[in-house]
Amino acid sequence: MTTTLENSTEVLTRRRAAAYALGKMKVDEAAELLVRGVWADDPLLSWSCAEGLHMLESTAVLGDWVNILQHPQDTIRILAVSALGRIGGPEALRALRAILFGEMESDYNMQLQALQAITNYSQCEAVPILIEVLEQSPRLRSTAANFLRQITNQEIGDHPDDWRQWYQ
Amino acid sequence: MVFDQQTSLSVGPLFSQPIPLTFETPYMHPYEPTEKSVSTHSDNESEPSHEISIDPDTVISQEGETDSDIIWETSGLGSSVERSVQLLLDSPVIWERPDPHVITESGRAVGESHSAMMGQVYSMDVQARVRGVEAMLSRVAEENQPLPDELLWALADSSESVRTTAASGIQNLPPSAMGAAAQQRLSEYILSVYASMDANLIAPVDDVLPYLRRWLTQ
Repeated sequence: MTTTLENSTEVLTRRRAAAYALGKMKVDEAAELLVRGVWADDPLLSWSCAEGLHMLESTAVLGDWVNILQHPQDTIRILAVSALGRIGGPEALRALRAILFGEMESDYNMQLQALQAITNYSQCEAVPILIEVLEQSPRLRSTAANFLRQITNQEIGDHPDDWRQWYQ
Repeated sequence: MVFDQQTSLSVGPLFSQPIPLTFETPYMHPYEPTEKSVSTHSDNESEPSHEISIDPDTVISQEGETDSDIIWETSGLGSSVERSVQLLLDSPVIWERPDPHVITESGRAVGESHSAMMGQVYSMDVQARVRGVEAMLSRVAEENQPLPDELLWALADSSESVRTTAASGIQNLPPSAMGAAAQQRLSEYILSVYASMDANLIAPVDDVLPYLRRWLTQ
């Protein structure tokens, strides 16, 4: 499979199939190859490699996912946000915060995905960030409040002060 | 044995008697032959074409219905010339009881000596298919036989236990039975499944792919 994916003269559908299969089988040794494929010129191959990399859920490529947040394909950028949420850990959380609070180039869809990704973290990590989003991002307020209600089982509205009061 | 919509089969040379070819569909979608008769053609120009008759009432229905078989009779073929028959179907089918004279798509003869085992592999009964897969695995492991097509096709079987038996069995084959050629063959099959974009094949293979990692990394 790695040989097929690597071979630039190979038929595109077979290279894409190999990228998918390597991810599905969680072949960690293929991570570097998949990362290179994400930056391939062909958008379909890029997508399949990103999909494969996403299925690996490898912590070893966390830094690569942070770079992929700047990928020219929007679907791949969103996949990168999702991957950060699945991998977890403090470095991924920093990147997700940066997306939510405009500290790195991002768009609305990436921010929505980042909100979703935050909910993969523990309540004590996720709740303060979601309350901060309520305070700072009117556009994301309603979605953030929905996630807050979901993870806390509290029937509190969309107002940040109410949530802040509950949390203290 | 899963066929695409149009599949060529070679029908063997010894047609002294009509040969019934029986199909069944293990899939959820019903199908009908798109034509009620098909022609044969021969490489030998002096040989006339023949019609293969198909029961005009034939309709293949849902999985599990025992009366859903379709009989294609090669009546009128008394020739010793090997012919190819184009089967026009609108969904995949599986051979149920391959005739010893039928040669599979890959060119490998399903000979009489293997007919009992193959009968199991193509049976509608899941346990029989599992036993067939186990028999093939033993042959591969003990006699260093190449991976049979049927063992690969079992990875996309509609039954989870058949798929798992095949995949875990391949996973546990000794390296002596899974040399470079066997690994390449397995890899080619998996690539062809995913490259086909056919959800009927991809979904079952997805299920068992992690078992095969040992042989597919390269």
